[in-house]
Amino acid sequence: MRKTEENRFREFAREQSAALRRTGYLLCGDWHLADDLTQQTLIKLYRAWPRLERDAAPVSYARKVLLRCWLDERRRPWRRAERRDGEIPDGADPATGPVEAHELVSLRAALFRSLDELGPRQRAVLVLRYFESLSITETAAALGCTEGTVKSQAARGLAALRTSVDVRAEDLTKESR
Amino acid sequence: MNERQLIDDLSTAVLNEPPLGFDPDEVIDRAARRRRHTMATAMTGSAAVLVAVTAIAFGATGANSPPSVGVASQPPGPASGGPDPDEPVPCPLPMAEIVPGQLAKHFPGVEWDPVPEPHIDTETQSWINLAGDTTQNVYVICGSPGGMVEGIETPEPTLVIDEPQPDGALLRVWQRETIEDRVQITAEWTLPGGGELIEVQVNAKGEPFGTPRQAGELATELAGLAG
Repeated sequence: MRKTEENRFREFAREQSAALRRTGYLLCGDWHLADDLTQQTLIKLYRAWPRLERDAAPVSYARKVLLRCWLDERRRPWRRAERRDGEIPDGADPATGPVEAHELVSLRAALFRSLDELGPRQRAVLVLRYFESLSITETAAALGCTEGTVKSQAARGLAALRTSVDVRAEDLTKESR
Repeated sequence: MNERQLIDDLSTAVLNEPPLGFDPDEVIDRAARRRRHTMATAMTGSAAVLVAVTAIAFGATGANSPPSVGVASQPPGPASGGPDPDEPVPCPLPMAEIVPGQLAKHFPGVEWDPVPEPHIDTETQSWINLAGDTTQNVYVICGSPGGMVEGIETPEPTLVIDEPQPDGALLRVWQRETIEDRVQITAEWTLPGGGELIEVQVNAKGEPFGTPRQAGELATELAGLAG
């Protein structure tokens, strides 16, 4: 890779790392693993960068690589054996009060419990469609599937989340009686 | 839950994110170093082959004959037929059929789960657990575009075997201790010019059931069968 190409890639990496990590976090539910996934993505992108700059939209490609890294990560027997049992609170933000911080932790815990119940591709569809705001066509391209699959997975994913939220609400009601 | 609520929840979930756990510039420096190392090793292997072929060509034509214009006299050139390291290498092996027998051969005395995990998405990957223990296993990938160890940060794997082959291929094996008392050994067979043909990963608890050398030999044999 030429020096000028490398410099452009450095700029790209600095600009996109945080956004990639956010997507990674929503896919895996763990900031540390999201850090790892983002680094793996950058390393893979580095190898392809000269071609990528000429032929493709780097951000879309980066997202695709991140997804692939995560799907690969999930296949690792190691990762599958490790299950997170709870949400570890992040460092306190001085701009956030204790009530807001508690609400955020509760929301994350509930959201990730529900997302964990989905299949990886279904979860990826929801994150790409409703967090990244990708169109159906873009989501299909990122996942390498048909638009029909994206539509059906999105609908089923939402339905599953709805069920999961309802069940938890019902459990809470029973517990409070 | 409707679409609007999911959009709101996903956006809220990433609020107050912790600072990045890495420096993008350092990641790129590391990627560049690894890339240079792989290319340099591949070039060294190619040069060794070129010297050998040249010597044979001169030997065959005799000391008094003028040098023949053949393969040996061609400059090595970057596009001399080697695979593109960024592209997946095709996997010619029927993994599901071959891997169980190879595991029995290279890890003697180890009892394997008779039912391998189903392959996901591709027939080029295979993992097999130890009997009755889904947390210890061997994971084999054939024809991968990227190495298993790249990007692993904590704790960083230690390179324990680094053996360039006469034809320019490269065998490398890493070892690292992961969480708790787990040990991970990763062997990678890279083709001349780049591109990982075979990767073997041993995931063990406590004492590893395989050594780096055994993992390396398995990767070497699978590469031989594939090549």
